Amino acid sequence: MNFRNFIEELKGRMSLSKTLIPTDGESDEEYVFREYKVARHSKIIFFAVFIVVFFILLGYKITLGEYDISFFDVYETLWKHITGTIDQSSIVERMNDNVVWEQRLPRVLTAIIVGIGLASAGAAMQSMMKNPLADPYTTGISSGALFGATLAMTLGIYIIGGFYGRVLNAFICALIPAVFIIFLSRWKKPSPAMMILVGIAIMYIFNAFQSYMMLRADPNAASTVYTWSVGSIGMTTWEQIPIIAVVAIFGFFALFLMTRTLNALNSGDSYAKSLGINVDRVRILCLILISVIAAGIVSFTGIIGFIGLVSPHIARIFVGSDNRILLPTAALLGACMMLICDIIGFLIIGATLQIGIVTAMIGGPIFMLILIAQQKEVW
Amino acid sequence: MKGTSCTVSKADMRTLEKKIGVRMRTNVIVAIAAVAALMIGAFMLYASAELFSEMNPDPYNHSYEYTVTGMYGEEELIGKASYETISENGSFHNYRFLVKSGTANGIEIERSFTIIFDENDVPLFYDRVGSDPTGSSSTYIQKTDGYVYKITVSDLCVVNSFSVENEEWVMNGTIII
Repeated sequence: MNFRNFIEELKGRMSLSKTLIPTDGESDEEYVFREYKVARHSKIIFFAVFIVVFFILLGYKITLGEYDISFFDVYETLWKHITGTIDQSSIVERMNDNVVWEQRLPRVLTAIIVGIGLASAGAAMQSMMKNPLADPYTTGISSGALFGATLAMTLGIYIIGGFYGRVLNAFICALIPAVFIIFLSRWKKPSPAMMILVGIAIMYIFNAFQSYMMLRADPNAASTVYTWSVGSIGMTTWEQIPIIAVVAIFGFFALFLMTRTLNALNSGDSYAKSLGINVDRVRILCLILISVIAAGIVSFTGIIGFIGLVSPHIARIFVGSDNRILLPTAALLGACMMLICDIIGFLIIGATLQIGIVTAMIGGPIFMLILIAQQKEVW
Repeated sequence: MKGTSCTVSKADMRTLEKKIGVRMRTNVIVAIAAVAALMIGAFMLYASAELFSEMNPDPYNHSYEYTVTGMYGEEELIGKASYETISENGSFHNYRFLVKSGTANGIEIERSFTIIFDENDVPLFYDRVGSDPTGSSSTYIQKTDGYVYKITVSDLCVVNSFSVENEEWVMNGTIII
């Protein structure tokens, strides 16, 4: 069975209308309502399955490293740390606590938060622009944010000083491609492919400026910036995690509050306008939120591509296009994908392999397969 | 079967599919090319990062071999040990010892243990028991679960010598330079 047939079969199984047959004496309304309930339950079941998979991946990821710790010990240690019941007289328990809480959890939490942020931003962007190829990475928003952060790190050009200056720089530069996208959408109705080509062009322009800055920078600073810009989650500390979490989780909830509006936008501008939605204002608000998420994430981890692109597509296969369930599922799937990529990267080379390259190696081919398998539905 | 249906002639369908199909394929090819371009961009960035990191290697990323001698009761133990790291976190350095030794009678002993160094290159959960007169290395000890670990550490978390012992055996390792 090829991949396309597999997808078709999977979709067939999930669109339960094919398996449900009206029973004798059942009215049309009862039949439709029953079908709706079954479809809704199946989505909830898929979501629950993803949650279980997520916790398995989280536990397994923390077991990997030079210090051996079992899957169940990971959760036991986490529980003991949270409840404050670590036995201070036991060296083994203290070492487990150090490795799990101080060393591995920041990395894992960063992966999860980044996955949630990027996937929800990608899902919202795809619905908002009715473009299956849209996400902060493909539209150049992440590259803009990277450029802004690099500007602060290599040349010391800040709008405000200090560490938060880097985040603000990233946000402002992320708005450049976002504004360009808004103008392009108004000026000329671009096809999905054209929009992405424009995004790639923007990305290469920013990359060119970034390369120029690297040439002028101190070699040690350039080395750090290059390593970080590929997409690295191993550098984040406990002090930085709350900042990324606030940006990504706030962004996720803000987008989640807009899911009904996004559903209307997904059905077309005229339909959304007929419902009294100010389409332009919603688009601008949505792009600002996406830029905030991208800037917050890129400032700490560099560019991590394809998560925001692939996760919503895979989530759509399982739960459909209703953003109310799609957004949380895509976010959960994004977190799972980040953990999977980190696990694969660790098993291939070790923790030193930047996750950005793994997401490109895995996410790129998966997305191509989805494109080929789903072309009729997507386009 | 409930639901609605419509009829389209085969000729109309074929024309429609042909028209839409051509556009679909074109778009998919462009999209695949775009994805390929994005992947290439990521690889190029990674290659640049690797180039820079090779120019500035991590001084803590090292591995060493050790010769091991010891006693298992009255019998002599001979073997070797390895000491290596996988960088996990910028604030800590984790190194793992894998010690293998055996007696002439074929008794094999294998023991692995991890040492966690903090940002100041001090081994965590070890007690400092002294240092050499020049101050270039320090000796630390840890007692846990019936085992006693003793290590002599110099700069950059390099362990010059170690010993592991329990009630049955003792193994001493010396670095091979």
